Amino acid sequence: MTVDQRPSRREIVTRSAYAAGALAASALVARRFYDQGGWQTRLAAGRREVRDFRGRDPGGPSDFVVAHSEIDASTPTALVRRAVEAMGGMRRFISNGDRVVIKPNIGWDRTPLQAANSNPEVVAAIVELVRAAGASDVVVTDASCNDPARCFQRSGIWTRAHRVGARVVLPADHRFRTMRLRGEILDEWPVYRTLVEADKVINVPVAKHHNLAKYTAAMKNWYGVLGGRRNRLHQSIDVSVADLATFMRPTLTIVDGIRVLLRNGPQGGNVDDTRRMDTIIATVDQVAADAFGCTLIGQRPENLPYLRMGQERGIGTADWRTLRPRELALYADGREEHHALLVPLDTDPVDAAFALSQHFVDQATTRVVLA
Amino acid sequence: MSMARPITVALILALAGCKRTPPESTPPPSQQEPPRSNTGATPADAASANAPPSDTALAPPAAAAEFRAAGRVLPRAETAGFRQSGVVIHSTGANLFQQIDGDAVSYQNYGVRDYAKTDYRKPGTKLVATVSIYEFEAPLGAYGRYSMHLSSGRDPASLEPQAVRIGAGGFQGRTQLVFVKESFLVQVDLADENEDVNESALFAAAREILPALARAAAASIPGSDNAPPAPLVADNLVWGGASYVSQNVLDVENSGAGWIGWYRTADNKRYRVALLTAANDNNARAAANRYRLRAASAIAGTSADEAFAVTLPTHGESVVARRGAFVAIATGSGIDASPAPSTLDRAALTAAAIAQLDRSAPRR
Repeated sequence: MTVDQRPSRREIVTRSAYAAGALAASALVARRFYDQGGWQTRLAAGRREVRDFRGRDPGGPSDFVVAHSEIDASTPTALVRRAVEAMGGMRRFISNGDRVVIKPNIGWDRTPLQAANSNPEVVAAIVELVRAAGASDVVVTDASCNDPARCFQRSGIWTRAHRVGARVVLPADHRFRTMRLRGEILDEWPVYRTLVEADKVINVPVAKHHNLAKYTAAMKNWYGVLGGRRNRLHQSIDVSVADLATFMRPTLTIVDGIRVLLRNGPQGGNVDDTRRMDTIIATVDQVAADAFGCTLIGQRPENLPYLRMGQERGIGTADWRTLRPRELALYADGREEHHALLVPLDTDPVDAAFALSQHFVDQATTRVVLA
Repeated sequence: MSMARPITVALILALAGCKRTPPESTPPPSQQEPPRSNTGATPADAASANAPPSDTALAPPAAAAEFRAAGRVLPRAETAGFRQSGVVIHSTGANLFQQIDGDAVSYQNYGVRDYAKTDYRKPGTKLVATVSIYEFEAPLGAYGRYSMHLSSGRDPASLEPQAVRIGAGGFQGRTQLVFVKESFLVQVDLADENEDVNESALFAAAREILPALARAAAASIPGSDNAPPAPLVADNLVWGGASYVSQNVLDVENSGAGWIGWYRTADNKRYRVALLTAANDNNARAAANRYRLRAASAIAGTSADEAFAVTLPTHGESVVARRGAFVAIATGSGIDASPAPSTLDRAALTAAAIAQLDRSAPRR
């Protein structure tokens, strides 16, 4: 007599029920704990999608620092270090084990002298600070406008960043993923995953003229997050810039104003269109970074609609006076001046910014900022 | 039946769901998707993962078929010791965003049709010259974009010491030469890829190679060396001072295209005169009205059909005068300098506007 080994109908139903229950439970657990890549996902006002890398900021002595020096009185590395120190140090922003992405402007196959990309020494200095603060992984990358290999190589960033221990990642098609940004102009778009899959993101734009946007630095630097067709990005450039800055909220913004392209941007090419300004702006507020930074090229914040949009969307403030600003001035004779910038509220912040940004450029300029 | 198996399955699935996305690793150069590079260098040249290429080798020249469209005027022969190296990058005017980002608009506004660029390297050095060719629908477009190069954010007269006689006009800075000929706008740049650049050596090399490459390109462009005729009063016009603007003349929206002349009087006063040419009197009247902001005040006693003074937001006091289908706007220096150069008073601005109308539309 043989015994039928096949399960009974009751057994099949019971096992199926257990399996379904197990699957349901695992799905619930996965849904509860799924890590979406280290970023904090939440929807901003207007249901816009946000990648917020600001984390828990314990605060520091300042949220807005302008460090500048007389030409050749300092180095980009020293200026970056001083600026970050004045904000409370990199450990204010980076924790042990953080995976950090540094986003310079590496959009152009130009050399540092042409000032179309972020200064490689500035980028390397930030890599060193981030590593010293305990980051487990430091990536330097950008979605270039020109051919990436030419851009990364000719900018000098590939060499300098690699030398100090960063992983330099060149963009490639497989590193983009279509995402819904839910912006006013930018809705569904290919996003450079390497830039958004991190614990912390540091924005390192170069301050320069832009023929269409008038000025480009912090907020527009996020164009390097996107792939796809660029022509659509420029149909309403101010709204696109505001959309992207709404999407990307960096941990820290460090604007490179070492050599500034004053005209014929963003490409540049003629060293005569650039000017050494030896300035670094470090801040937690990308709107403030641009409101101040645009004065480096003689532009005024009210001429940049994306700043107003950024402020209206709550991305930041154009009034950098409210961010406990500090100034560091490094002189050729070795003197260093540290100021808390006590700019009276009835002083036009643009006048103050002009005076500060021109301090070492035009020695005849009278400083109106009160220390 | 034991619960162990389904619980184990659930735990495995849950852990899989919780798995953090691993940091994106940079593949070793040998596995990395080789990026296009006209230097011939790829990450595969690197000594270790994500290391930069160790050298910017002279890449073989592009195939003859690559010298097409706008690229047909790119120099192909060795020039002053520089050899064409690597690919020729091409773009249509409509696709120019992919090459030069938002700057494309400033070329498209002038009717850019085609674009090409390539590198030239000098063996044994890290000097790299790049020639960029912009081909426009018409010579006026090429000239207009060139004039923007001259006057964008500066006094065009300040570039007179840099003037070069190539094509219909050009200027040479320390690392860039720009010239225009027929429907072509050509930019030649020189860069040094060394980490520590000897600037004086770079500038010295640029003085030699930039004009050599520019002349080679100009020789490939058929046609004359004449610029499109500018319908501007010639007296007092400064060097490079005839600008053609594709739209928004003097930053007034929807004004259409127009010319702007930059002038300097014998006593060193600076002023500009813009000229709009409409299809008929009614259109010209509408164009003039775009400049008639609040607080515009009529100017009587001129030979114009209408004339008024107005303060333009970014240009200060200006005089607008219309005769027939022509509108002339005389305004201040447009030079952002401290101290600002002195300019003409209202009466003199009016005279300048009328002089322009007299040239464009002789009195009836």
